[in-house]
Amino acid sequence: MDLTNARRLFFKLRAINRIDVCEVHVVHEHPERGYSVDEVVFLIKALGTFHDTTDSNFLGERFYWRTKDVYGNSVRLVIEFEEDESGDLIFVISAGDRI
Amino acid sequence: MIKRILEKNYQYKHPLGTVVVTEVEVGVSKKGRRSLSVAEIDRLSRFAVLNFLKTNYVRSIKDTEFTLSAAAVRAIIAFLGVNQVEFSQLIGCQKAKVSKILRSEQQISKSQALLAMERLAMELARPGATRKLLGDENIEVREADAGIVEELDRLRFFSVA
Repeated sequence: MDLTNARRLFFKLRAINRIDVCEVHVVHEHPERGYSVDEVVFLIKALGTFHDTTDSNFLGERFYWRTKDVYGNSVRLVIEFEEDESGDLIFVISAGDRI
Repeated sequence: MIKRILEKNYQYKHPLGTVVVTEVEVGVSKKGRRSLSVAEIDRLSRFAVLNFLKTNYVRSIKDTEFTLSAAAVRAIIAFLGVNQVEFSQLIGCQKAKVSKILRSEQQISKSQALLAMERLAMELARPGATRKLLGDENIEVREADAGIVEELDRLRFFSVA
């Protein structure tokens, strides 16, 4: 998926709360990541910018949401689109890191 | 494709305390990656916050030394869905103090901790109320599940079911 379509889809799905948060990376977070699930949900709904991945292996599959946390630090959340069992699209926040 | 399965006795880690929930819907992708929907996270977080209030609400009033850790304040800010400036308005202090509390350079005072607990209880009982209080006209204030409202009423107003 190209960046423009992915961005459009991201905002559309975000508005209707079709969001999943990955359990390993975010829910039962790695301690070094330091963000609780509530914070991750808050970060995804905050103001930010949507970008392509820098990893060429995942170009068109993974995207980044860049925003700022409560301390003003820059944060990057990894976004992947998936299909739900009902056939609807959702996006999954698969990781979150300070950058 | 993500398939939804029901998992029993799910342990949910929240900064305000870990809770074990009887049944949780977990998404499992083709690759085996597990995820939770935002709606399910909201439900679990509310459960964790209720548990936290049940343990600490009365103590926060009676205990003269009661305070909240930086991690708890951070979790409360995230639950309320506010930024540092908005949180400072909610507890009646300056934004600089909230920054210091979050960096563990200063402790939240007893009176401010009490206000934070009240705001937490308000948001739990009426999701969206905090943003409404801060002047967000577009937000719709909902009523929490009857079970949560009942528990909170019992805790705060000693109501008898």
